[in-house]
Amino acid sequence: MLTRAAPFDLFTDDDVLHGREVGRTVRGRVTARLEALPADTVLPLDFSRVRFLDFSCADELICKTVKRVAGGDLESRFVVLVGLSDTVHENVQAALELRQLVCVCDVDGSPELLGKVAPEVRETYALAVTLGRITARDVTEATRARITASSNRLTRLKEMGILALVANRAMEVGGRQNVFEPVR
Amino acid sequence: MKKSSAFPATLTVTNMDEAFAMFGPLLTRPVRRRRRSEIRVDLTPVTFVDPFGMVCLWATLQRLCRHFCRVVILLPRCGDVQGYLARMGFWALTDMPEVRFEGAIVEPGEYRPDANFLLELTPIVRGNAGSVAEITRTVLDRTAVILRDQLGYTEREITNVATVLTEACQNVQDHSGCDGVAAVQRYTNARTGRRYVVIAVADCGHGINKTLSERYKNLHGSDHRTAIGMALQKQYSRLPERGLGLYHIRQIAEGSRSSLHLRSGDARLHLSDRPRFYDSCHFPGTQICIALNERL
Repeated sequence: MLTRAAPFDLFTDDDVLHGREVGRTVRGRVTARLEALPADTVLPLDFSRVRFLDFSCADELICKTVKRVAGGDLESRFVVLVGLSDTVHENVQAALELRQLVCVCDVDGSPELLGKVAPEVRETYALAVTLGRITARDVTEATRARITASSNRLTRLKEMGILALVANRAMEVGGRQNVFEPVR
Repeated sequence: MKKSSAFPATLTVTNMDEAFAMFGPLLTRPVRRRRRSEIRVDLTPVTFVDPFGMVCLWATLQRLCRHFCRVVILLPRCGDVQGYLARMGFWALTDMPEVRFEGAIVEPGEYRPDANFLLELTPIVRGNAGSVAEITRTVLDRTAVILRDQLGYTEREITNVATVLTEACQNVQDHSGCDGVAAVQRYTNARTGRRYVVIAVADCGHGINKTLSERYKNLHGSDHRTAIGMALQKQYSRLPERGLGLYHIRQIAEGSRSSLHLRSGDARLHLSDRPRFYDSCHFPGTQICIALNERL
């Protein structure tokens, strides 16, 4: 089961985060925090004290972190973005979209997806949030897709870093199935 | 003593090519050990300057000061233009030992910064990330008051202004090899009533062709048009895993159906409805001008 860590405040001594060098420095802090957390943890990155995040900094800080999370480098540690102002939201969205990445963002307590989000990804993630936990069978029942396609879809979301594999359990009819939780 | 021909009446992105041509190849010649004595720069006919004209004027003076011991600027006869230059901080930024002004109607210190200006002529100091942060903060503060509170711009439009500006300024710091300058001003089209913001950033450093050639060897010996075209595409940069800044600026301009001019070397690209290249007299560095329209 995923647990949520205490939010990580991205405010430095400046509420304007600009440029790649700043992005790199803050990313270093974020990575260090992530690596110190136990597996199956979601780290909220708190932007509530960040006034402006320019595009380059967003690319360096958010996109590279998301890429590492999605790539499994950080072994079941995930991030969610919280406290984004409209201004910060714009550049994070633009950077993720250009890099064709996806990240979870907390908007008024509800999880949303930012970045390059295909309709079926959004649909499947929303289903996972509704159910709390999701299997390929759940996707098939909801969408009438074949079980293989449903399984592939869940794997794809896992590889984006927005679903976490939390269990592999035996089925009554035999065989095993993966169980996923939405990152939020 | 050398005197330039009289500058054109308007100094905007479409006229600066003509202004650069007055100096011919002088501005791109290697600096000799001994500078020539004096040059007089005739701005007397100028009746209008926009941010791009101003940043290019600054860049021109930077180059001239490397070639001449004294640069005498014959100021515009038009008092309004002199006042505008004063309010936009032109005097402060051209306060160099080599520079003299003649024909001043207004005293440089007579005017105070205008609260309606989004950004006066402001230096981008190489190696000083704080200078870009300061520019960003100033624009954010002023866009909040002028664009949002007074004019009802949306958050996205304001973010676009700040983003375009910071990306262009960051490029100067990362790639030009020298200092640069930025200025931002808002306008209303008298004919259509449409509001727009002009963002101008200039340096007289390496230029795009030389910068990209560090990584793309096939650019050596090719023209500046090719380099400019590459720079605006995704992921072309002298540094790996970069090359999104100018591309993103282009996206913003296209998304708001705005006008983007990118000038480097002897070429200028105008991106509006259709991309179009213009030949220009060779001038070092890179100069960019975006006229960001408000969304209707």
